[in-house]
Amino acid sequence: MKKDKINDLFKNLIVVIIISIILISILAIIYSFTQDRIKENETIFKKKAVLIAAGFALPAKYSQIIELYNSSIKEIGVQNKVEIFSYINKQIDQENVLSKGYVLIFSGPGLWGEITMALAIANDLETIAGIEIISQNETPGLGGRIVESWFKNQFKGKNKISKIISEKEIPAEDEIASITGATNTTKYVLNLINIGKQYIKSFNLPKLD
Amino acid sequence: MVKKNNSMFKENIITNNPILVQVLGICSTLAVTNSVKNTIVMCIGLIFTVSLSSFSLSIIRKLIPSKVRMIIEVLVISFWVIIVDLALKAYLPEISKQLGPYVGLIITNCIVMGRTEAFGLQNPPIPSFLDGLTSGLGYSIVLIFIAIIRELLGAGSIYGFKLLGSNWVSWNIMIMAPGAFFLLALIIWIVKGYFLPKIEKK
Amino acid sequence: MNISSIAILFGSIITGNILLSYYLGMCSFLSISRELKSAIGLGVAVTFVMAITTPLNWIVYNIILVPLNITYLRFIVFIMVIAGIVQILEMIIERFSQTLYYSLGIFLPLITVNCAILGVNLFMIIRQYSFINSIFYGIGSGIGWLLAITLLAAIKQKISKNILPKGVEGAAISLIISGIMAIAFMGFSGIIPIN
Repeated sequence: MKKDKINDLFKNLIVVIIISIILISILAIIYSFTQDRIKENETIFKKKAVLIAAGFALPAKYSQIIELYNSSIKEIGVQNKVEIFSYINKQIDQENVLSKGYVLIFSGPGLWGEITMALAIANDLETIAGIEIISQNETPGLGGRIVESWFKNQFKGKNKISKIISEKEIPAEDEIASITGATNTTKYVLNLINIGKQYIKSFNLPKLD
Repeated sequence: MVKKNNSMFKENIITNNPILVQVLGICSTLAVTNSVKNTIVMCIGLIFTVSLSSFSLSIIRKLIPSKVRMIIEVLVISFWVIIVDLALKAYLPEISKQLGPYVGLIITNCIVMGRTEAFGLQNPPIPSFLDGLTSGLGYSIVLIFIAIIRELLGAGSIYGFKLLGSNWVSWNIMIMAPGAFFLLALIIWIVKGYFLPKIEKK
Repeated sequence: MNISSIAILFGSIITGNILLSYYLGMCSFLSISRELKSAIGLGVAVTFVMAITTPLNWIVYNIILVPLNITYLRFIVFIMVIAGIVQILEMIIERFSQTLYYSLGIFLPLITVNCAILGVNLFMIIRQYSFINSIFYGIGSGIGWLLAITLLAAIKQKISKNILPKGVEGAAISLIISGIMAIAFMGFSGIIPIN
């Protein structure tokens, strides 16, 4: 009786192990095929974010995006886990201060988890040229709305932000409209931008010609 | 055989709809119904998982010792879900990012588990596959319907296209969790209180 | 800079309630919420499993899966860890409390496939919590789920003798109650100050 039980257990265990080995090896094969593509997607995702933050109008095709990226973005390096890029935007008038500057990719705290952001700072090392949210875990419908373009676009060209106003009002030069019901997330985004500005200062980046 | 399959089709989509009648499996998918696009992708992933899990488990059903049945079911289901996840990451990276953890949660979707357990393990592969497919379809129809209403009222758009003008004041509650609860309750109420009694009378 | 663990604990109980704002764990929520006693029992079991598996899977993920570069297998690994813990829990409950074992009955094995537990584990990875925070997140989410299911069961018991329109009784009324509860829970958002 007891022997039967042990035999049974043994048999069950072997069945489970064999099935897991088969399934996992199939997955490993599939993964090895898709791996390169997944990595490529991740880099394209990042390249797009850098371009959007720097205020470029994105072309439709992947190859064109890569071309635009290669011609206008320079990868400078990684410091303190912050990725640094410089950009020259030929789509904008060259007199405009926003037409060149730096882009940083970095993470910081949000309300629910880390927010990863691409922040473009213009060549005066003060003015925000644009932001792009790369990843966030805020509440859908509330804080999750920081990915909406009206919210991101209002940072463009702003220098100092001293006041948060409600969503319905039109923000002035030093104001930002917060998302209704998600003032805290808005504050976290502002905080993140300040962290980014401090990075710019601490890295001692030179002005681009 | 054909007749049997037809009645299965009707049963799984209408009279025994997984969501409306059995109220199963709303956990993982209800969360993405604030956007039609994400819902469609999620539903395709779910149909794929439920039909193929049912199919593959039905093939090996005679080899499975009854004691470790659950573990093997979960293993096979996770296998198909990982394939869905890898495929999304490789070919639809942006949607994969938006869906976040919810793709993985197809594993614990009660419909997948329920159909494989109730049908796949007792029946031959082809009917199991069809059963999974029709259950998944019945499920998807309801969810896509919910998603259309939620996105329309909550963001003024369907599938990302703005339909209601810029004067439209979005119903934020529709995008948030309570909107989904109320909407699903309303749909179940209408179907259970009005349509089902009619169908049953026939 | 870290988000304080206490904020995560309270956040996951109330404003980020795993059930009311992420819809996870609805199936067992709707099917067991008829009876207050078994609702509490299941809630405690879920809390217990979440509190153990979240840090455990954090260790498994960061110490085994990440170095081996096989994070794509995380779904299978996580669900296996959860299944193992549930099995152990089932044996313990069976040995120590026969009454609890019978009142939970068929629901105990269902904990393995409770979306809330796998969901909490996956959220913990996606939000890149630290080990300490993952402990608080696991406990908080469990308590949040317990709170939601207990409240729903209590409300349903209270209205069980009322006459409802045809079609509303059962699932629909549970969903309406959950919707109202979700709004109420959301009202707490912003109560924990930043920094």
